[in-house]
Amino acid sequence: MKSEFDKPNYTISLINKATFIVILFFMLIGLITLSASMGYVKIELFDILRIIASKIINNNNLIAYINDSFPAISDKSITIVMEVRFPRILTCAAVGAALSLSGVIFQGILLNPLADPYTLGVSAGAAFGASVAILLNLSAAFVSVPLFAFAGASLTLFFVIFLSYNKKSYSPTLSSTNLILSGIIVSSILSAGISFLKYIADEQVAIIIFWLMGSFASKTWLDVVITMFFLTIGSIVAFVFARDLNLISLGERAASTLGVDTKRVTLILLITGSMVAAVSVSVSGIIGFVGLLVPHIVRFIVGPDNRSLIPISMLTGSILLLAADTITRTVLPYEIPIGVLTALIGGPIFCWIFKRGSVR
Amino acid sequence: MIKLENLNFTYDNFSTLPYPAVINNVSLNFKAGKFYSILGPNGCGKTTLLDLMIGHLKPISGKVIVKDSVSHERNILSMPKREVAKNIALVSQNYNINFPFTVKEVVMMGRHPYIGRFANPSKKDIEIVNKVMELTGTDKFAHRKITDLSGGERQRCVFARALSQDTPLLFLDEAFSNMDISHTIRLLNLVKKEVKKHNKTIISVFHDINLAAIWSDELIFMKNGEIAASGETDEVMTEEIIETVFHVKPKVEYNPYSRAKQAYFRT
Repeated sequence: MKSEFDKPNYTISLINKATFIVILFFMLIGLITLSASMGYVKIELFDILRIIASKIINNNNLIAYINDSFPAISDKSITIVMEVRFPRILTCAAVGAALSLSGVIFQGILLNPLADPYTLGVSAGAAFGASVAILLNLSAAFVSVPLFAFAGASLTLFFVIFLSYNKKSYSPTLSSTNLILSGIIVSSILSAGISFLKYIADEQVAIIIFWLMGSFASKTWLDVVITMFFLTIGSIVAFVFARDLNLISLGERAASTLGVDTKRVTLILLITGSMVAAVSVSVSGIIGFVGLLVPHIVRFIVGPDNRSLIPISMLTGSILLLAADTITRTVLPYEIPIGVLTALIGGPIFCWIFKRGSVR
Repeated sequence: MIKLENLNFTYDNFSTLPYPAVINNVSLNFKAGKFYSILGPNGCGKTTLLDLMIGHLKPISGKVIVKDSVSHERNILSMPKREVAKNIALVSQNYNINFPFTVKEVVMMGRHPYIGRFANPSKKDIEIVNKVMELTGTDKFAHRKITDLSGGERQRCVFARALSQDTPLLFLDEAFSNMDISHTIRLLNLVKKEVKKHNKTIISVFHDINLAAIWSDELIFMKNGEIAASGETDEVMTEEIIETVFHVKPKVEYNPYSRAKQAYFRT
């Protein structure tokens, strides 16, 4: 006899999860195309598809045929789409996925559904690194600010891990409480450091503040390649250890008795999650709430199994961040820094979720 | 099955001050086909001993030897985690789960050491999980979220997960602390049957001396990290031993209904 509880509790498990992933993927592709057509210069959706096709398809005859059948696209439009919009859009989509991936990983490792990519001080480290670069006026060489941000984030991460290892060697593990506490300690020290840098920065203070608020403006193909590269590596590692992460999210002792080498897996995932977050911060500044909210909402719909949570969160993160960036770029009269926009939208949503009591 | 040789352990091994050892020179030999219970006051090192036995903590000196089915003797610390998980299952005191997995998902996690990294659960895995859930009565809420359950129900799920690991050794660390008496007896009978039928070994930490006396073949009394007494239940369940270990004055006598010695207390 089946009881009333004897049915799956998550709505989405009724639909095939794979189908859901495919739908989200096509939604993302559609949004990318739509976003590329929107902006100060309006470009027809069909023209966007033609530009993409001409770059992807290697058949000159076919392209020539298409170009002959329809009115030509101006060189200006092609340049706008290929050199301005696509780098920005693709970076944004990659960062949205990266922040969500990182959020899933951190929430699992830290046994805390409220953890986010910045819990361990990655953002503070990146911000500090970027501030130093801006202050030393290294921004002339355009790679140095992201580079310093990345270095700052990585150094912070390793220091936080170093700090969380208890000197008493009996416990051969990384405890989540230690990690969170070390993260808070290091973040506060770095925040003070950033304040000091702002204080002595004089006219550069505006650049620092603007950088900290996050932006996808004037991204290049280099940014796309770098974020995509780290995102690919990060998602492969995450998929490989997805089931171990399920067990780790039950608690390190339980995972260990169920056959997970918790110390090794935790360290691998920690570094993966942080690197992915560090790259995101270094290309786009600090964008809050994506890494916290997206995994949270997706978990609510598809359940906490990381094997489906990871890909669905990544796609959802991409879609939401790209939508937000498209709104600030094309719909709003003034471009609001993306970090401010996500916090303004995400904050109230989070309050609502929190108050409803579905935060677990 | 599992053997402890001169085990020593302290949590404060970097301290220069002399610090009381948590586990002091413990040697024990657990045999297959027996139900053991470890009894002792709070903080006497029972949980620490289990942690050492499962390889979660590293002893300062001494070793834990596991003998598997093909009678290879291996130090627990040199075994890969997956191998350990195929030999020892632990129901720990802490049954808190922060993420809303369904009960069935949680029990299926017990099969983790048997399922390849990218493989799905086999027919056998699913069969074992279904059987275990039926036996433990967790099948009634198989598809509910574990975070929605009460403490006792959650404890039963964690118990079911350990059973689905299908190991020759099962450690119970106060596994019944939040269960009502009917579920406690149901699960004790269940594991006792496993011990007799499949020659398994149960090592259980108990607070209830009388329950331990009814179901255990042997009792181990611990005090201040040392073994105060150990042996057949009838032999070590005495007024003198309980008094020295717990500092209470009991009356111990054979109870024909329980078919075991029972301790009685009064104000």
